[in-house]
Order: sequence, then structure tokens, then C-alpha cells
Amino acid sequence: MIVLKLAWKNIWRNRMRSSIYILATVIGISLTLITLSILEGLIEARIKDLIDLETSHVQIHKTSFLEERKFTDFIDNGSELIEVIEGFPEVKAAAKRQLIDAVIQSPYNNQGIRLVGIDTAREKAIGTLNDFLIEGDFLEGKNKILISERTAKKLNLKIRSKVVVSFQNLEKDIVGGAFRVSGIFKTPNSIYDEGNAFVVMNSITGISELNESHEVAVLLHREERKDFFKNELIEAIGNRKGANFAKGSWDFLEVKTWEELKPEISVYSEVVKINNFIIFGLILVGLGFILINIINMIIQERLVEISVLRALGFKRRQIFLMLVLEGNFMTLTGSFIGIFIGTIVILVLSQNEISIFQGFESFGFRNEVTPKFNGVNLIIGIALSFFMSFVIGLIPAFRMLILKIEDLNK
Amino acid sequence: MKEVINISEVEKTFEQNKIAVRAIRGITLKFYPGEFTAIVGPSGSGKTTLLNMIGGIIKPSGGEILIGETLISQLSENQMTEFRKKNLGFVFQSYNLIPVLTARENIELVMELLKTPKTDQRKRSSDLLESIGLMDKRNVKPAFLSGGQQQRIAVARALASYPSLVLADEPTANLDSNSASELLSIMEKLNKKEKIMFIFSTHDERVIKRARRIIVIEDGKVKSDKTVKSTKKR
Repeated sequence: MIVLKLAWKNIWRNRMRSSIYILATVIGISLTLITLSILEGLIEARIKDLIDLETSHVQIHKTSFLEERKFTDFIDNGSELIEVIEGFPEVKAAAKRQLIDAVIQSPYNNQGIRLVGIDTAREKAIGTLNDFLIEGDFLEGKNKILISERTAKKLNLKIRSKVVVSFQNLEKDIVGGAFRVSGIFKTPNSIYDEGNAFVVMNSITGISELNESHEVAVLLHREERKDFFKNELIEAIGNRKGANFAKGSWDFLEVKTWEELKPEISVYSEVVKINNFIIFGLILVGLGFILINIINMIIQERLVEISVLRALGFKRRQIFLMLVLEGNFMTLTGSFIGIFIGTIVILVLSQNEISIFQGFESFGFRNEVTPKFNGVNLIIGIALSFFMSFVIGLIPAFRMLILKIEDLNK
Repeated sequence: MKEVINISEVEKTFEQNKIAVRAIRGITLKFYPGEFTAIVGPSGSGKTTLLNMIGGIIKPSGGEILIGETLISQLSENQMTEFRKKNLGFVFQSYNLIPVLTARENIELVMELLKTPKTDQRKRSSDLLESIGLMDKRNVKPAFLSGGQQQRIAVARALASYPSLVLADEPTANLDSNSASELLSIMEKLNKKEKIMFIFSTHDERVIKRARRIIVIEDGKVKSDKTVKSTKKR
């Protein structure tokens, strides 16, 4: 108890020095937490956009379509597959999509795009594309097309402008059709915007006689059930293999989660988690060197006092513990204040989006980020602070341990 | 009367710049209960070294030191620390109070180490504060006390755990005449009241005049050892 008391009181005998160290810890820890919250917000928004706009939680394709993206690699009996999928309680919504590499032309310019044939009602249920409309209406009716603001600018198009979309049909002939722009969208992901245009499925069927879809996307009630659902669906599809469908089979279907479809995004998420440890570690190592210096100074300044304590009956290990605790108290005081301030700032910032990344949309990330408060980071911060202050504090304190009381007295 | 301390043929050799310096050269002394002894000698004569050896802060190079039944020259460091805590009190030339603790906390420090119950600590520190006349300064930190007041607190700290022996290294060296006189009176009073043996290392005439036994050391040897019969006229 006396050791604890002395360690705590000793911190405040050189207020300036201790305050500078505590302040450095506060700034280091709070800024680290804020930086991590922004990074996590960025990644979380990217994953949300990916699920909402592109992949949903799970997708089904023909294996050959994933490899070559051929027009002819469509899923047989897609409507029946949707029925099977919707039989699972985990499923919130499911939608079929036709995916065709096409060229969109206006009187001014042309551009390669992925033409997505959608079921309007199902698409609204599964994704948020509708929320990103900045002009016009979502697809209602045949021969209407939904394009991005970027495409509209490039092709000099407005609402109700006409475009021609051409692509290869089942017979590998180039076919085309005229579409009128019904809506213009702008998502936070410029790569997605540049690459996609949407029409209703019937429009493509009318041009190419393609009745089936290339992709079935599934949105679940809970993201964490995706692997379970995937396995269940694979089993359900397996049970139907070799069945006598009117046409084709389900023999070559592949079920993938969004993490398998976009492993790079999943890796980002993991990298950020590892990054959290590394950033925290680096900050604490930096602070650790300051702490070593401070405890060295403390020992040097208090050699006489330490020898007096020894003469009065303090054991070596008690003095050692006192020095380690001084370092611990300073680091932990700074860490807790830093965590408190960092948390408050994150909670305030997370009420709104902050615009700090310019040009990130070119990489699929949002320019505006809502910092994400993560309790795990707090636990990492506290645990690493404890660990660092204890381990770093040991180094100079060991110096004292090897000094003999006679040496202290010199 | 049975001696409390028995020093037998004690030697101490230090190494300075690879040259062996014999600070204590075969000293033999005995100390008896309740003594008020001054070890006197010029600077470098070895009096502080002898005091530190009695206190177990320095180990002798040769000979033996027996305190009570304990041969302290053969104790391990931890055993010596325990022994010091329970049996010895120290008063240093530069007071050496712990600056972050108040006067009362400084006095209670050793009792805290000995895990004395808090109420007993409070009573003992209050008694000592009364004895040294600093009850009103009990909550004051050392930086706000005069040198004389700090040294009185240091004496109280040395006495807090009821030691059988107090070792005082030049306790009056940094004090003015009045403070030194007051301090010595307090120590004499406590010596008589609590039957605690005091050994001073000093070359201060004020201390020497009050001592009841004077041991003169020169070049690491005892030059003279006189017991003064009465202190009444001093």
C-alpha cells in the first residue's frame, strides 16, 4: 500500500515532466483512436456499399460465367431457384440479374459498360440503387435505361435522351436496341458508376431472346448467417442436381459469399484490424522510449532518496515496484484520458459524415466518412497500454535492482 | 551489564581508482543499553563508515558486528533490511525526509512497512509529534519546514518503530545553534524516556558536549574512548 501511495505521489513531484509525458500519451492515444475510427468507418461504408449495390450477401452463378463472363453461361430455371432460395428463413430478398458486356452509344460518344437486366421490384427490395437516383425515375417499363451521372456526362445525355446499346446475342451476332434514359444515379463508388447501366430484364429478352439470368443475388436478414446459408443452399441445390427440368440443369452452379466474390474488400477489413494493433503498438513504443528516459532520470535524481528508503527498511523489490508503478500510473493516466477524449470526439464526429478523403471514390471508397466507434479498439488500447507501461517500466527499474545499497550511497 | 553492540576487529577497505583504501583498521568496541555516544574525528577518519557498518548499510571487509544476538555482518541483504526495519533508526545529515509525504506520513513510513495497525501508527506519530513540538506541522510537507524542523521530524521517524538503536550521521551539521540545541535536547529526552541508544558520528562541539560517551577515531582506528560521568553541568 505504501509503495502504491509513494508511486502515485512521486508522479506529481515533477509536475511539468509528468504532465508532458501524460499529455503525449493523451494525444497519441486519442489521435490513434480517432484515426482508427475513420479507417473503420471507411471500410465499413465500403462493405455496406458493396453489399447494397453490388453483391448482396450471397450470389449464385454458373461456374463458367465467373471464369469467362460469357453471355451463354446463364442459370437455368432461375425462377425456380429463386423459389428455393426464398424458402429459407434467413433470406430477406432475392433477385435475378442478366449481366451483359455491352457498348452504349449516344450521338456524341460511346462507352463500354456492363448492362444489367433487372427485375425492378426485386432490385428495389435487395439493394439501395434507388436511393442514389439524382434525377428522373427508377426503371418503369420497357426500353428504359438507368445510367450514372458520369456516363451521362461522358455521352452528353439527359433524362429522356435516347441511346443505343449493342451486344452479342446467343448466336454471337451483334444485336442492339434503343433505350430512353429514365433516371440518372450517382453512388459513392465512381468505378461502379462508370461501369454499369440498368434496364429491365424484358428489354434484353426482347433484343436477344435471353429469358434466363446470369446471376442470382440474395440478401439475408443477418450478414453473419451468410456462411451457414451458403452451405444450406449448396445442399439444397445438390439435392436437385440431375432433376428433370424443362431445360438445362443446376449441375454447375456456384454459391459464393460477398467475401469470396470480393476478397480484396475482405482483406482490407482484416488489414485494418491488424493495422489497429500496429498503429497502437508504434505509438506506445514511441511513448515507451520517453518513459524509459523519464524513469532513468528519476533513478538518477533520487539515488540518495532510494538509499534512504533502503536504510529505512524498503526492500529492493519494493523500490523496483515503486518505479515500475510510477511509469504505469503515468501511462495509464494518459491512456485513460486519451481514450476518454478520443471516444468523445469519435461519438461527436460519428453524428455526421466528415469529408476528409478526396479522390477515394476512384478506388471504390466514399469521400465522406462516418467515423465508427469500436469498443474492441478501446480494449486493445487499454490492454496494450498496460502491457507497454509494465514492460517498458521494467527496463530502467532493473538498473536500480542491480545497484547495491553501498553504490546508492556513494 | 550485557553489551547491545559488540564490534570485534572490524575492518573496511574501499577501492578508489584501483587503489585499496583502508577506511577502518581493526576497530573493537562495545556499546551498552541507553548510551548517548558521539563518534568523533576529522573528515575522512572513518566515523561515518563505522556508523554505516553498524547500520548494515556497508558490509565490513573483516571482523564481526554483533547487535543483540544477531551477527549482522553475516546477514543477507534482505535479512539486513528486515533487521534494520525492526531494530534500527537512522538520522541523516541532510534530513532526507521523503518530500512527497507530510511530516506525519514521514514518521509513519516505517510503521507502515512493519504493517503496524493504523490506529497504533496514529497514536505513535501523535506522541512523537508532541515530543518534538511539531504537532501543528503534522500535515506540512518537508519543503515547507525549516532545517531544524525537518531534522526533528527525521528524529521522530527514526524513533517511530521503537528501535533499540538510533544511528545519527552528523545530525546537527546543517543546523543553526538554536535548532541544534533544541534537537539535542529532544534526543536526550527521548534517550532517557524511551531508553533508546543513540550513536552519533559528528565533529560538532555542541553534540560532543552533550554526549555521555565520546569515541575519537583517527585514520580508521580508535584513538580514545571516554565515558563522561555526569551531564548535568554540560
